[in-house]
Amino acid sequence: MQIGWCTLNCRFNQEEGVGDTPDSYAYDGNRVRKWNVTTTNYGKSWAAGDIVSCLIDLDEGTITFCLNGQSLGVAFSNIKTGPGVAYFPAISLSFKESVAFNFGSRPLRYPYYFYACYLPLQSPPTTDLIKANRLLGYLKTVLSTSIDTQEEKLVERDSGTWQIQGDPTILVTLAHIFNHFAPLMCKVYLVEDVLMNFLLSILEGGGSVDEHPLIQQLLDLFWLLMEDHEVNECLKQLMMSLLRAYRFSPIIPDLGFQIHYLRLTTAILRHEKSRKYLITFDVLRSVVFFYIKTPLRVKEAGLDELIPTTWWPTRFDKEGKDERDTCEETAEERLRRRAYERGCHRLKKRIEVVEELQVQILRLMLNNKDKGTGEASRYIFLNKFRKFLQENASNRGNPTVLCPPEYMVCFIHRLITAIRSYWDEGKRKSPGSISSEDAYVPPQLFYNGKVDYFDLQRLGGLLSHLKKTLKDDLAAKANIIIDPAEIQASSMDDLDEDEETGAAQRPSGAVAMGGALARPSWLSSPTLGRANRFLSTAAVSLMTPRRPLAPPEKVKVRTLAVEQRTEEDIEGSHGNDGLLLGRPLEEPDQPITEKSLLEILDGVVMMYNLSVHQQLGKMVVVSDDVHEYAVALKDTEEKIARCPSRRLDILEELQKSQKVFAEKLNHLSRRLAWINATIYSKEKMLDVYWLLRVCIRTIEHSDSTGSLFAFMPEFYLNVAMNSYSALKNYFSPSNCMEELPGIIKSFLSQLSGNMKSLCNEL
Amino acid sequence: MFVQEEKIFAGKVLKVHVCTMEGTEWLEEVTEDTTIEKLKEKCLKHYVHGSLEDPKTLTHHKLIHAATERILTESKTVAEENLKDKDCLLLIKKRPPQAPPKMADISSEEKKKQENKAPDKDAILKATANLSTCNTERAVTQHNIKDFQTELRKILVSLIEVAQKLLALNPDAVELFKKANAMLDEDEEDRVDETALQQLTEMGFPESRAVKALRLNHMSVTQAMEWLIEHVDDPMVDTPLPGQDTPGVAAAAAPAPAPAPASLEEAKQDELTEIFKRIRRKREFRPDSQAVIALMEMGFDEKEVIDALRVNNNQQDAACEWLLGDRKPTPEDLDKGIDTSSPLFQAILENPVVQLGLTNPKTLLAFEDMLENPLNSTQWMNDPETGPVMLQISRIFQTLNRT
Repeated sequence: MQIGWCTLNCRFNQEEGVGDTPDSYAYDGNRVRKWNVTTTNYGKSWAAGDIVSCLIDLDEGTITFCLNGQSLGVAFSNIKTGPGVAYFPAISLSFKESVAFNFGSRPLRYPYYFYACYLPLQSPPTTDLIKANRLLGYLKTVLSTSIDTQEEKLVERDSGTWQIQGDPTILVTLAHIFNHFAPLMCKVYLVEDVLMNFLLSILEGGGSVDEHPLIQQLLDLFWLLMEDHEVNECLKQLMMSLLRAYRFSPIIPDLGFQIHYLRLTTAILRHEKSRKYLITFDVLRSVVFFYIKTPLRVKEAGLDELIPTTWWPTRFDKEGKDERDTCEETAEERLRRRAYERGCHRLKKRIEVVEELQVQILRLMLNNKDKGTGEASRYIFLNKFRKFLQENASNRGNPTVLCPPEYMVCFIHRLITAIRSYWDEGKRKSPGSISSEDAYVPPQLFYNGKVDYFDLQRLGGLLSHLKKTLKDDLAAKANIIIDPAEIQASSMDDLDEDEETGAAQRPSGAVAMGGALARPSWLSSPTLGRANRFLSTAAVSLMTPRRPLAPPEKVKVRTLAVEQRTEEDIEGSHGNDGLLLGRPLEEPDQPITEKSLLEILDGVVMMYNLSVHQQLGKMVVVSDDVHEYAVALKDTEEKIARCPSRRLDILEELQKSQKVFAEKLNHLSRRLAWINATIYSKEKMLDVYWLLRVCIRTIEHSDSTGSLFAFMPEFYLNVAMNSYSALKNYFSPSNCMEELPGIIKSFLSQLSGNMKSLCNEL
Repeated sequence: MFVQEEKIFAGKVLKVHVCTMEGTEWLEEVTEDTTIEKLKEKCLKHYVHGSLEDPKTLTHHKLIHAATERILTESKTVAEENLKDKDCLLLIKKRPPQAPPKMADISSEEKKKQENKAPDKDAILKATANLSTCNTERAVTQHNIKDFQTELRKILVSLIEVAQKLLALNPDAVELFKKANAMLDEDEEDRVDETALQQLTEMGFPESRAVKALRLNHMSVTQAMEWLIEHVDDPMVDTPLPGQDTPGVAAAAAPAPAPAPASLEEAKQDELTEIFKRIRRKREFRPDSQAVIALMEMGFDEKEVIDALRVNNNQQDAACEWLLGDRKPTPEDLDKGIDTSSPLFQAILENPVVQLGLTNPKTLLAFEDMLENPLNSTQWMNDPETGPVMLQISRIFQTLNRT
């Protein structure tokens, strides 16, 4: 990426971009250079989420760049000016690179005009700004004043604890302010510059978010004195501004920016009406809030100070793996390792503060008690979440709406923490239900049509096909009758399916299975054998209905559009099982947990299959790199020790590479500390392990329903196998599976139990 | 009586304070079953004195209950909204949502947008006409940009030297290089240029001698002929070349008598140096005989032609251009490595990926092979082990080439 300035005369092509022609000037933070036909070292390296300011001074004839507000110094001087020379902002991008410009339609994050007279290309809305700031001033005055009715005078007070208390005089005053303020608060620039900064300043004092009730009071006022369309627009802009602010803030040692913006987000989402509007608006965008970016410039992120001592494994056995016993470790090495581990721990503590806030945000969105104003937040979230999954699961999905996998990984962990906490809260209230430790997704979800699995493959093939072939079993076991019209409609959709029903004896599930088996990810899986067994079970179950048709009362399945479901549809009520309609005899008649949590859990499993697993595998690269360089450094050091004194030339080369390796390892070990804290920590390993057990238990329960097992979405099997391999292969270098007491054992006993049940079936 | 009846029928009467934005305040009597909408209408009538001429006025106002700070719902009744006697209500004017722009506005907006297009040359000239000229002759020193392929050769020569030093102390270095040597040998086995051989046999030389002569003279027909004529009376002329008919010779030489343990390392060193020399010798150039003939027919002498082909990787056309042009790079440049203290080479050696690659013997092999057969470089670029190293070298080169 080369970003900077060019003139009309510049002609660019595949080979030559901004900075490669005489009148264009560019900075490239990837290669850390500047370009104007020739190139020299310049600036610092940049990372995704950084902000580059491109400054041009046409009086002095200089071009300067800044990275996250820090000047990188004058890059070019004596640039051409005069008649016919006009400069345009310009950029050359490579494949898959993207950039967001701000020419001044939004406030500049690092406004240089304060001290260096640089102005944005687009002038700020000065009149509106003055107006909005003045009105904000009036508002602040009202907030810090109260009326003493006895003495008939105004009294100053602390605005932090302000409340209206229904005083008509104050309300009328505020109504006048809002009459002018409200229309301004629909404009992007003013929301970001005036409102967001004001709200942030309220939280600046520190303390927990609920110690600042003023924000709640203000939001109440907004909903009271602004028109609905104004509040909606204002909240939308506010949330987008916060998202941008969060996303484009650099990582500094105490993660101060991230915490600051997340705190305001939490404060806003605490307000019921605002929260519900914002969830309805778009949950997908808020996924950014659950992501913590990885810093590339280790030093600026403060990792040097946080982890002053670096360490990497130095002993390897013959296969090049880290040797287990550390008794050979010298005292010095041990000290270094401990110092490094302490540093990693400090880093983890800091990251946990951010993660905690992120979980809080999710818990707010999953609130199911706020029924004061219409549907509770959780049910709005649930429908949006399903839509989010659909967009990400569908191959036809527009790549721009796809959630980046690195966001997905962070999102899944926060979501697991949030639902487990709600799950166990529910367990405390109704002791009959099961704890999140034993969570599973009951099989009804897969066949009762209450949850939309889009066009995802089921173990027995496509849903439309299963509905036809297994409709008698559905009626017999689960009291579910499928509307004949629906079957008709789906057969009209695909003719291929019709052919399959013609040959009903053929275990048609196997066809779909065969397709799945051909995938390389299945082949490379260590548990392929198990998969095969599952598959054949599915095929067998398909052919053998085992129970006679029995109960007379049948329920018809009403398929609902994802976005229209209400709390009643999900949780059910008396005489309505909601999400769990059509309980098979094998399932215990006892509440598991709140049904809405089951659907979210199901979504979490789907998320793992979408891109989380893949991303977990990708991030292993850093620890592999550490290993590779550590081996190389060790070899080099051994060679230096062996080097005959007469070969100084060899010694010189060896020392050179020793230096390169040591530097790289210093950098990598700090990066690894970050990745281990954000991605491969023990807590995250336990999350994945929990997911594995959820899948296994779900498979068990589903398996016991006999032929209806065919309805289970294929991704449950994928996740069971992949999460096991992730635990074994991805988490192992930093967290050994054996370190977790009882984990391996319990997993194996579950596995063998599973095998037994499957054998019985066969 | 009638009035009372109505009152009973209508429910309790409340008195509420109503305030407007302007500060007017009055008491409004209202029965509990009145809808908020009706109440609002009553208030507005009081407020604007008389009948509501514009029916829209009604929708442009809202009533706020001050004590509970909420907007009252139009369709509900006073009782449903839980209003109490003496409650205070605010009559507030609503702000209408921004009306969608009219068609005329849209088209004028469009027009404006089109006018707002980026300025063209004339507009710029007009706007900048009064500026004084500065730095128009800004000197941009256009360095001659070096070609990656020729430069790569030099880089490779130097990198090979570094790699050999780095690998020299590997415990299995000797085996390693022997293997590498053997791999390079494979291509070479008994390859004799058929056309050249035919030319010599047609002249009447026995085939075995011709083969030997060609081998000794790097497949050059003229040199081989000269050698054959010179050695026609030599009794040794028919003894086979070492390493050809007796393939064991080279190998047998390798396991030298076990040296004293103290000098083991040094002995290994010397052995390595030998192997390197042998590898280097293999790098010697074999010109394409047809190209040689073709170029010689153009009037160049054989030495020039061979140099030309060597510099241009046996590409006849390129060699011809070289001969007719400034003849750069010179053949002497070819075996020269790059200046090891140059920023380019330093940058390459400071790259961790390159350094890591240099510890892998396969990289050395790849470098050697690329020197000999530049056309193979694509293959090494795509190799998962050597690819990243080549990518880094090419990136560093591209970046620093413009310095």
